Amino acid sequence: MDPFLQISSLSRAYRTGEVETQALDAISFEVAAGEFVALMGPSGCGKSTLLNILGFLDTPDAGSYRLRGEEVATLSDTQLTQLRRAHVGFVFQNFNLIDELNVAENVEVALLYRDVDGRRRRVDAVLEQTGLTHRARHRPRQLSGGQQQRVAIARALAAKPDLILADEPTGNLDSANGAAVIDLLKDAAAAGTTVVMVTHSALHAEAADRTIRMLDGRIVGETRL
Amino acid sequence: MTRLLHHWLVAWGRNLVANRLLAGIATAGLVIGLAGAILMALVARVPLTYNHVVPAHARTYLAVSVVSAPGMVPDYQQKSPAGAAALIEANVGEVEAAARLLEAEAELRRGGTAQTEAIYWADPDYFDVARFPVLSGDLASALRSGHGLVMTEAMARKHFGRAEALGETIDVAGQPMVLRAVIADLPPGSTDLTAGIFASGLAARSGLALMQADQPGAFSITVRTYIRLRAGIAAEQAGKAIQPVIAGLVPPPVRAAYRLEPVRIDRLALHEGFHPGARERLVIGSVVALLVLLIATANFVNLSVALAERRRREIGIRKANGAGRGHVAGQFLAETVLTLLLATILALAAAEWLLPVVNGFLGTQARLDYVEDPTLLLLLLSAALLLGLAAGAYPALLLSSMPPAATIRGSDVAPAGGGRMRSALVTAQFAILIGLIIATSVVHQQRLFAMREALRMNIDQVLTVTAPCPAAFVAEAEGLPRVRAVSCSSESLLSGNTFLPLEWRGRQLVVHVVSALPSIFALYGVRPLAGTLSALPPHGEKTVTRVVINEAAVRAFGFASPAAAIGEALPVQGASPGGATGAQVVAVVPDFAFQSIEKPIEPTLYLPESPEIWNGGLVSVKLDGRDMPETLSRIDRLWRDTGNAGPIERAFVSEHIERLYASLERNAQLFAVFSGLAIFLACLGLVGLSLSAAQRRTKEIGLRKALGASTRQILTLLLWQLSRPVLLANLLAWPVAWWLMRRWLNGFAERIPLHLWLFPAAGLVALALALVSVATLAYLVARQKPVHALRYE
Repeated sequence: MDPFLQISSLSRAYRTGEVETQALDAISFEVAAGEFVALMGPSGCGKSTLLNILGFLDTPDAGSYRLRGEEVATLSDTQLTQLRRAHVGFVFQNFNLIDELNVAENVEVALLYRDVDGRRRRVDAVLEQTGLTHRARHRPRQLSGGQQQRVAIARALAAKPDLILADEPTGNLDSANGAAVIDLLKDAAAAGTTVVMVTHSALHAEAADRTIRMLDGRIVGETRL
Repeated sequence: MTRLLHHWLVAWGRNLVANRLLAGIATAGLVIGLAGAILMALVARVPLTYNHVVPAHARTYLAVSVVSAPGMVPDYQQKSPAGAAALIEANVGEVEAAARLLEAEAELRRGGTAQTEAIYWADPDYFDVARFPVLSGDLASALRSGHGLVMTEAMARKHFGRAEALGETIDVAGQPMVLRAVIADLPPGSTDLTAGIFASGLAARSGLALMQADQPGAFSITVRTYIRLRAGIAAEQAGKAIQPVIAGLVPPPVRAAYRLEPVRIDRLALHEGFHPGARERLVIGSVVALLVLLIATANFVNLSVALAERRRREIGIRKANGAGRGHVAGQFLAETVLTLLLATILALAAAEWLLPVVNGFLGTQARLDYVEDPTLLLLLLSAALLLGLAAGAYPALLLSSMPPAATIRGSDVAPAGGGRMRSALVTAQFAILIGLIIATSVVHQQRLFAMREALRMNIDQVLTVTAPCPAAFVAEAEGLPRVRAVSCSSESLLSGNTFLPLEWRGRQLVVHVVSALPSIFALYGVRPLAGTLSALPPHGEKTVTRVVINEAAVRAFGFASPAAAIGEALPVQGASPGGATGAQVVAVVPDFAFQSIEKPIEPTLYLPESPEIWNGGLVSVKLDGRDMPETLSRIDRLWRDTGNAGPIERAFVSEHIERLYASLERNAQLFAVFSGLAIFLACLGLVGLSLSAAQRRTKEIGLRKALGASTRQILTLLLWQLSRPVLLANLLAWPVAWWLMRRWLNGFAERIPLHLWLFPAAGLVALALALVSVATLAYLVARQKPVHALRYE
């Protein structure tokens, strides 16, 4: 059976004027369905670039990216949007909530572009799952950092994606809130969702099934717990 | 889909509130630009739909009188000879029907009430030619009896107390007439008809019945002749066919210069012959209003992009959550259209409020009536929708194309081409503004020129009294305190409406004729270029033997110079009731005219006739300008004391000149108003953009200061960056403005030169306005402490 994600010799470079930065340098790895993978490494090692490509927000310069055995590295912008819509939920370090929408509306954004029945029910369910029901009508700026990140996770969960990509989801949180967020991601993985999380925290990486370490755009180590 | 729309609406509304200052600036500009455009559209609509109440307006024409000759600007009159309609209907195959209207004042008496009304005596088949919408009665047969009367609904209500008054009787000019049909009210100002009562011309005392045929040699134009052409017949073809048919009505000396020309009734309002400058004013007004709308839209687009860039993160989040480019583009397009519709509703309210002022200013009767004309609202909203789609297309495309990976981080990635486009739009705005400043200045200068230098005479403190030179009044007026001189002339001195067709050395010429005492020239400060006025008797000649001509006449008669004309005999047969056969040129005066300089000054013969032999006239009284109220009272008193009947009809010549240039004045005011709007909008836009730029560049400014830049250096940098598009705008504006204003000036026979200094001056004004509008803001940004700026993010 094909792995859920299969990355082979994937490269991505950025050019600024005459300077070229190799963000990803021919990396290869696989992720099984329902696996919780942590990506670690210093700033600028290519973690976020990898996450953007995994989430179809960016495209590689070279190499192969297969999702459930199907090559997706060379798809068009429209096809990538469709894949993103069908498979991916995002959680970001800076929460990335829309200030002008309230909590329920922010969560609902994940369902707006998908053909989903019973949106309201689904929003209510994930808000309950993340302990935010009482905050549904609040605007993001009325919430603490931990609560905002829970909203972001609720939004990622709402669409019931196959893959959750979390970019330093605990980076702006204290330890208690950070732990709560990791618990939510673990629960998602336990329910069968594949989770790839970028983190600087070794403690939070321990929650994952596997940790991939990166340096200068390459994979330099892998630890399976 | 409903939820998606709900989300868009919520995001739109809350973003408007969150960015209320910038959104307010963008929307306010749009409201102003739209209100201007709506008002111009309403005003333009009236002449463009003139007489469209007549169902067959495309085939219905007014046969107008034209007097013309080579080298002469044709003179148009809406009236025609009374006998023309019958001749045309009987003999011109191209014409299906012809009928006349004769304007008159008549007493309408019903019960004990009598009122004097403007009415039309109409031929029995008038309503066959002009089939107005009928509310009740049989319009076709209404005037076929001598008692037949047709009224508009408003007139029926006025005289009978109700619109359903068919069969009711009222005395018109002393004869009982019966209301046979009621037609719908004529929309005010939108037809060539001014009265709403049509009485049968078959009535015994009707003006048409009482009208006598012209005597041989005499010729008058008294009625309005309407004709309906057969389908497929061109007006030129009908005009040619009419000419020989009516030739017998025109005396031989006038025949070559006179013709009847069919003018489509819906084109009368913009006909150059009747309303000089109306078409041009309409075009200029519409173009300027569109330019202002363009400025407002460019502002709106610029500020929309600036506002939307603040929503990069939102765009990124939506894209990360599955939104495609279409979703993002659709969202921003919908927001723009909604804002445009909101601005249109506000602009409509503003237009409704301002319409009476605009009507008063332009002398128009435009209306904004959604109930009577629901299509108007629909049209305006559709136009707003289209404008919204056009204005929203660029921001929508730009923002939807932003890469999701960068936008999701909320990083400073600017949409590709956004900055360049924004600069281009600011440049375009200021190019329009500079063009408008140049145009305003040129129009103003030309107006001053027309009212001062171009006159080539001194009209200061000259009062005219309409009277045929009453001897006692004139003699005593000369002795009044503060009166410097008094002289007499025919009324054609002011109106220029007396023509003399004559044959000169085998050529047909038409010249203007003015009867005037020799002292008239000195009164207006006009000195002869050649010859002398001193040989002329002060009180004129009983039989004209001498004549004064202007420079245009020197050219028209083909004399080599003014001096060469002196002593030449001109054939002025028929020019004077005094029986002149020929007259010797004794003096040549410069071209001066009381008519508009849009037309070249016509060749003019000044006949030094004795006042008692001309009919109608004008007394010119030169005052010294002091103690004006007392002087005018003395003149009024003298008018009564010297036995003149009726009130004195007096006016200053300067008022006549102002009326003459009312059109030019309106052009000047129109430009000034729209230039003011353009300046306001462009500066508003610049303030909005600099506000947005200041917020966007807080971090950059902090860094520059941290690295050693002074407040002055930052201020200079900011002002220079904002000034660049304004400077560039000059390069675009100058050639276009030069070409357009040259064209406009070419419409005047006498015109100012197009001064080159105007162009850099307009550029400097625009630059100064731009700097003033953003300087305070730039200074506040530049003097911020760097630590504040660096903490910004």
